[in-house]
Amino acid sequence: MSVFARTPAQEASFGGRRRLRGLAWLMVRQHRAALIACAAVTLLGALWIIHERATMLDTLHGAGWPAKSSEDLDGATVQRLDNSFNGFARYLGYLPLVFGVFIGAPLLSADHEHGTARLVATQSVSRLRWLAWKLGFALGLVAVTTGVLGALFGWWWRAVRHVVSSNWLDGTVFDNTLPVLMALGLFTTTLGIAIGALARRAVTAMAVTFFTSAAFLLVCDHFRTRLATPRRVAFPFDGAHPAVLNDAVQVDQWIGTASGKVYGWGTCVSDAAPETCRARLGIVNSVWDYFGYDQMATLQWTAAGLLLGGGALLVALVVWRTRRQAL
Amino acid sequence: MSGTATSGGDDSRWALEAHGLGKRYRRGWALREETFRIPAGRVCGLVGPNGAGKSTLLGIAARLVEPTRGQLRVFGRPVGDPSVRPRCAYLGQDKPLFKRFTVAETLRMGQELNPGWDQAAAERIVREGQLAPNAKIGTLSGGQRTRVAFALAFGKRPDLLLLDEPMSDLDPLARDEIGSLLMSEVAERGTTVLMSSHMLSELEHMCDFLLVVSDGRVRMAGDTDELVPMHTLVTGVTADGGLPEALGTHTVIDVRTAGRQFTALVRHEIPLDGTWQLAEPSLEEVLLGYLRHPEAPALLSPTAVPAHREEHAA
Repeated sequence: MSVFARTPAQEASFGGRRRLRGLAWLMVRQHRAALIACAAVTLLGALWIIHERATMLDTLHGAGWPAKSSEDLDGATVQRLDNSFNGFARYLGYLPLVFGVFIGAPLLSADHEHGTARLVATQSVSRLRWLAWKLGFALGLVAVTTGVLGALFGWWWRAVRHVVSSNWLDGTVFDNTLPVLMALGLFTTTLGIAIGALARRAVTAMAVTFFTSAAFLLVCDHFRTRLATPRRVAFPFDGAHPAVLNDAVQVDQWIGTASGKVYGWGTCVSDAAPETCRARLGIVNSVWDYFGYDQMATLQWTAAGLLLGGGALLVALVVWRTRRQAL
Repeated sequence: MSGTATSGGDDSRWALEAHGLGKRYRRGWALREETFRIPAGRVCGLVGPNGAGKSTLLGIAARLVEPTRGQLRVFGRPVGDPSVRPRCAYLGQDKPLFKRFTVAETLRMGQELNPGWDQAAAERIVREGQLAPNAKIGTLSGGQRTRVAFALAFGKRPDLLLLDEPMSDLDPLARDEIGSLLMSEVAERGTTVLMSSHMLSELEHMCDFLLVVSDGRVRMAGDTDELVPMHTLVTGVTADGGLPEALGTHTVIDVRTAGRQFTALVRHEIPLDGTWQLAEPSLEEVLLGYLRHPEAPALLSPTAVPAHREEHAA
């Protein structure tokens, strides 16, 4: 066969249909593995949630819920359901870290390391347009995956929230439902991208991102109660909880006098005669600092706002850095 | 956008024009406010020792590096102008390509990212190297990878081709093959080429214009046909262990003595008299002389300097 002869087979293998054009094609081709992985995670996660939710509701309905209150259900059954819910939540909780390390960190650092950033920059597209596509593609991928899974997980939780994980301020629910899951994913991804743009070595960037994101997520855990001002309610000591505490999450607990003076929860507890001690101090009330269930959205959107603001700053840093730096 | 010297009016006679071009890195100046120009349609060799500023200059022209000072114009347009982008192709020393892409996908990338893409030309270059379209870039040899990189560069139909030591990592066979590929494509299109190289003999074959840089400064620039005849290799007998005084009226670039005999590379403003043995040096000998002596006065031919200065103080 002559070298110049064009057989139909060769023609076909060079040609092919062009469904995607320009940088869109390059993004999909270059990040094919990430795209397939995200699609698989989204699909399998979604199917799993739908299946588990249905199974869980079947079990609960079979046990007479919601006619029967969750306290009256068989403890072992509730424990099993709780474990299955929390087990999935734990996997979901790893997503932001995984996105930061495997999508964010190598996004620009791998292109710098292998010189492909130079390859693309010397074609006829501007560096900023390329960067915009890179960022848009990665963040879009993360947003879609976390968006679908977070929405479905929230749908699952709302159906069974009186049975499993009623503490919605806990990371299990708070971090894994929308909009926080998406904001966390986007933040850790931009953190990874920024670290990658500075480190310019994929493995270094991935390692640094892993530790930075893990530390960040741990620290975040401690700031959740500071996102809004808790409400305070006082009710008779030994009396029943008022209705406002239904579905509420307790932040702090005190004991207090009728005039509103509060004492630490442990006051008088170790006293020889607690009753006398309380009477002496004039303590008649239990005082709770709490977040009402109606505050959940505010808290979640505040958290998401802060995370997205931080993410936007990181994106600005990446753009500024990549724009100026020699490739 | 395609076609040489059709846009940009008068200035497109010059492929590259640098005015006070300088680049400073943290460790110091890589290029010190240099002024020179390269006519369009030439194959220009960029010569200099390691760290002389060759890659920085090519990087600025390829918009990979931003100059600290001065201006570089490409076919009369500032290098940052978007219309310059499709007219230049750049090939780095390491020839970066996506390793997981196939050959066909690499060409597809060229097609997707370049408006004036010439798929037929790119495919022809790849086919001449007997490369299978579905071969992964990562499995190719250095020479084959360079061929794909060249296909990508030529598929862009550039008016200016910037090559940073394109042959440095190739075996002699691949070097010869890629060299003839380059020359045939350039001859066919009239592409201007600026290529850095350490292979002086290679440059002598390919280049008709020269830019010699050392320590961030331009040492010599101009037509090879003009530059070489301005020099003479003088061989004679030393006087008191040094150069004869009569030679002092000329610019001596490089002297080597062996016993009582000296060999000097001389730039002559007036004809040399016949007391010595005279010979025309090869391009390689001239280049070596200038590279060996960075303190020798720079030699810039009128074509290579916008202000038509024959020389400027080093």
